Amino acid sequence: MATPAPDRVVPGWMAGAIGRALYRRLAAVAPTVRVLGAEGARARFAAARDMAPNRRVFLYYWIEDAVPLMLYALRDDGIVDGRLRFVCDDTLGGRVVAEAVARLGHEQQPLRLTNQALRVRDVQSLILEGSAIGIAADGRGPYRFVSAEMARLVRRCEAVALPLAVQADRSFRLWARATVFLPRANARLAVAAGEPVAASPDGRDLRSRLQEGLAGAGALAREQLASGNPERLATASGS
Amino acid sequence: MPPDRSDVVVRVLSVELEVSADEVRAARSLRNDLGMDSIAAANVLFHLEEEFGVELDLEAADRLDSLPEILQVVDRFLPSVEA
Repeated sequence: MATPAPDRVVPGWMAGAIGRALYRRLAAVAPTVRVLGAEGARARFAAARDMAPNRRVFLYYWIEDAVPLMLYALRDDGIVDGRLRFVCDDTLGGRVVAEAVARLGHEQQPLRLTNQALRVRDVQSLILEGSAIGIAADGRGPYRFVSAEMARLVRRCEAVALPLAVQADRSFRLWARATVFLPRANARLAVAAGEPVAASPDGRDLRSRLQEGLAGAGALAREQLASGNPERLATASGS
Repeated sequence: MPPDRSDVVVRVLSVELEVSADEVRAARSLRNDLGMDSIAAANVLFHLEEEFGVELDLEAADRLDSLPEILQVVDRFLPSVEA
């Protein structure tokens, strides 16, 4: 289980500069990437919206998929459309992603970790904000485990959570605190959405169901990369 | 006589964290001792703002991890109300 180091205070200009460099890299790589599974993921996202038209959709993913997701957003706006606000914390990684999100033209929902009181205010805004959001389920670690806060947020907002995995077959590992991958040129990028997850009235097992949802989406993305048959797998119910 | 301001805060914390008032008073860290994560803290703030009928200003607060720290925020914002 990977656990994050304490948050470091990084000057805003540095995070911004890294974010701009990341965006330039993604913009250069995007035209060379082949996307697999986009149709199926879009269908799942539409199904999640239709399933509960009056409820918010939370698109959630592992932090390690955040950069591939940005790359996917450059290629396809079927899921990551203008109605989706990305939750970005004020760690280095969060601010780097925030810079890329801004350059992609998407709105951000700030989440300040470095001040506990302001974080509470940000969470209040997140709860009151009515739009769909994109959020890393393991943003503060331990990584690849859905946080208890994520589950509580889904329940508090009575949201429908849609697990999303975005994986490339050829990547650079970016930094060590969290394992984040930057897809290489000419990579294949698999996008997979799992079954939508909603809080049951008794609140039973929501966190484990969110965890299973992401595990299923990840397995589907790996299958797509392994088989290279996007049409069959994009519509599979193997999540 | 209106209830003591600290009693209101303790009651709100007790309700939102689903623990007894004694546990709230005894806790040194609401996060570590009573499991108050940021969602729970947000709910506490929502609840306190409803109770006092004001929007509490958190800009000057660094932490909200203990009863005294929360009382400090409330007291700063409601100085004219007799505690």
